Amino acid sequence: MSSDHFFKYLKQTIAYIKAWGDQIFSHFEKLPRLEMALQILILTVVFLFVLTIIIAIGVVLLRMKNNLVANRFSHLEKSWEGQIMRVLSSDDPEIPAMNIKRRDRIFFVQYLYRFASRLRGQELQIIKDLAQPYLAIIAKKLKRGYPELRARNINILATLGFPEFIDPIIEALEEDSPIVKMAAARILAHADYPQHIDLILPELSHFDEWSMNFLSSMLSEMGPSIASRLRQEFLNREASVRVRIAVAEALRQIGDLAAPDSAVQVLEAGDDPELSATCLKILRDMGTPRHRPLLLDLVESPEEIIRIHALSALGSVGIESDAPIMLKGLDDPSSWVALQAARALHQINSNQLLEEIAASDHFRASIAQQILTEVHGL
Amino acid sequence: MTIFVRLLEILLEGFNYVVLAYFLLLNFFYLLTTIFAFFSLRSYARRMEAVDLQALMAKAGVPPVTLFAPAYNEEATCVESIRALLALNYPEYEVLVINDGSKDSTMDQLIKAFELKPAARYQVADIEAAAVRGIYRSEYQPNLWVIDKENGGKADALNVGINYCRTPLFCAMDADSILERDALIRIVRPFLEDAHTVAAGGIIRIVNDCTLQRGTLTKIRLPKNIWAKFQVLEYLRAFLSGRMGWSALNATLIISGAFGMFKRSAVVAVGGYAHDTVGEDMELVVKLHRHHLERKLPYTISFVPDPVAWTECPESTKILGRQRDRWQRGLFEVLSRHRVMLLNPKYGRIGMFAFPYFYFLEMLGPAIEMPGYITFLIAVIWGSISYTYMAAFFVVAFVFGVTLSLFSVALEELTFRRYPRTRDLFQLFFLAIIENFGYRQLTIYWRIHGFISALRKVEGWGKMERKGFATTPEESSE
Repeated sequence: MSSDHFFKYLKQTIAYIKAWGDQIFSHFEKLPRLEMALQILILTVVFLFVLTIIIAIGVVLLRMKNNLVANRFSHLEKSWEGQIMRVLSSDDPEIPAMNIKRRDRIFFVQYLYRFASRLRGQELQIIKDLAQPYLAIIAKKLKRGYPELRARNINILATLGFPEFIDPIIEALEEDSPIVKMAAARILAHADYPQHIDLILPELSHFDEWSMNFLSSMLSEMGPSIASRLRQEFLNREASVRVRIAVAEALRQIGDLAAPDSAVQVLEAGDDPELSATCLKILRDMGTPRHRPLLLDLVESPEEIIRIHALSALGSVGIESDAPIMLKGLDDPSSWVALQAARALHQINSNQLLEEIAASDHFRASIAQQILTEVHGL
Repeated sequence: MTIFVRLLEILLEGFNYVVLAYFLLLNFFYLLTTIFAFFSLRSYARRMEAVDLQALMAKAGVPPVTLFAPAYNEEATCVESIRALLALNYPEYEVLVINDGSKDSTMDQLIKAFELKPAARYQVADIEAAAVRGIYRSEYQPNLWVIDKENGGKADALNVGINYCRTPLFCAMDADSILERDALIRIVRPFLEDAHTVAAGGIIRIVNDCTLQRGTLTKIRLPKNIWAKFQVLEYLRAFLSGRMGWSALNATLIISGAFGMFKRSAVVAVGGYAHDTVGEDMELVVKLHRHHLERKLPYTISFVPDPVAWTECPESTKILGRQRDRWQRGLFEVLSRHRVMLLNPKYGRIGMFAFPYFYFLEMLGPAIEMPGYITFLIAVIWGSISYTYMAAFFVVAFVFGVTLSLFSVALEELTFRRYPRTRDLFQLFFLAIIENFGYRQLTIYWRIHGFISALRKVEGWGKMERKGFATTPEESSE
């Protein structure tokens, strides 16, 4: 149909609708007010009644369809499970191809994806081989459809077709949809592919809405080989605070031994309090007594979050002579700081002091009791 | 005399127009939220297909959470409910049961069932609350704590929970509710995906006559009791159409006290739950909106439709009436307290859209609807409205009500399909029709009663009787 014809038909349809509308309106215009209201009400009833019947029939049909689909899939899954179990238990290195109908291929791959999550090693490889002939269909689907389904397809390719299908996953990192982007980033953040860090880091700022734990655990999964690149980003004052915190947290989770020095540099620069708190967590986990002077300064910080984490780090690297600092922390107006100070006292083996406070009428006696309970049990 | 009659006629006609406007507006909002809920649920269901919960738990570094279970005279269900809480699928969580001065054997049952021993735990916030009598910890379940306190009401119990909460997030729920095993990981998702999330609500479903085994629901069916059946349909409408629709409009004003997750620091910043209202759950959410909007802080409050808390609903009109009376009082108290938000552009879509809806249509609604029935009838007897017109109007109201209910059933069928028996589906259709003949009118009566109780400043929750959960023989014999 040519475009001229199309526009001609379109004009005719609009004219028809307009004439029909005019007819209805002129009908109502001629009616007395009450009569008009009554006819509108009756029309509404008829419309709603038809709508109700349609919904009811729709729901029943939907239930029937769902039941049919569930039964069919359950039947298919049973038959596939039997075949797959035979392949997995066979000693024959040749994997026989499974005869999958064209319309069931995507469902078959999805089934293998769920199956694969329970397997490792050679068995997983067999499942991957079974899926191999159909993965190209999934790869094609990465470019269209709902973002959620695209994200799921990325996960399927990552489980059953990695690293063969790495290129479409890298392309997906450029997607606008955050969920697709995140799915791709999570897959690419793989310990065997440290070079992907250069692809992931520039995208991190797009994940503003995602939790920090989520981002940092994703990065730390890439392992120690990316630590130097992470440290570079950690020290980069041009990068956003959120990205620097995620990177610092990842360095802590990796256990990077050079991270404390970077943390000291950041702390000395006196950046954002949350970033400083993350630096202090690094010192808590990997710091040494040489960091004590800096920590002794920071326990006096006006920021509550810094005092908490400075005491926590001091508990870890401190010595018994730091007990007066911690006792001062117990008097802090913030109960979180006081709680951390009590923990720090325990960490530097000052349990005797804690017991004395717990037995006294000190206003933080219950904190001391709690720490002692945590240590000694009930 | 003639002037008096004419004046009465004008008043009658005027009020009928008010009722008509109320009816049109209310149904417009119902339709709007249903349409939004449809698109939102469809998208959510697709999204959930793509999310692998186990991978999320393994990789996302989910934050630790504390579950608050305030208990007052819950001897029939408390042990079963807490066992279910301890069996949840979540890597790191504490269960904090707050015994709110129960007068029955709740505390003794807890001590015996979970081998509780006195333990020390420090208070980390100072929200005003009734005195704590003792703190206990289970000997064999180290993540189970019980705080025994003087009676102070549910809000007070929750505030004690907040005072002792050591995790960044807490989940407020009723001690008699059963959470589905994946409920926590599902409700925590908004907090993982949006760092500005301060609260998220889950869906409440009715557990009456469902079967429980080792803290997990094994058989889901519609209740046998007719009043409970009506409530199933009501809850589907309220959650799948209502709350989902409001959430899609980014204007969630209610998170049920039976199941909601909150950012601890945000709740502490607004001073915790209010003691002096029976609508403390809604009050907290409204207060969170107000706090963030007044300070121009970014925040999100959302509703997640699939983390489910199953709860027992009243099976007698007496108890149901008390519950609805309390809900209406709660609504009145909360909206009156925060009236400054009403039609105030400073509060954005909450002040200009959600708040006016709840204020004029939900809170004042019964006060318009009930007299509306009466004046409508007077107008018909008077002769100013014809019988045909009246009949047509009521048929529209009836069919529209049925349509909306069926929409909710359709949404359930489209997404979660929790009632697998086809018999239950047809029962829901039937209930959508018969609820219009008596049940709806009763709920209006209870709501107007609640409205009057609120005006009279009646306080208190009223007694709720529990019959306990149905368990399989294996469970019962333990």
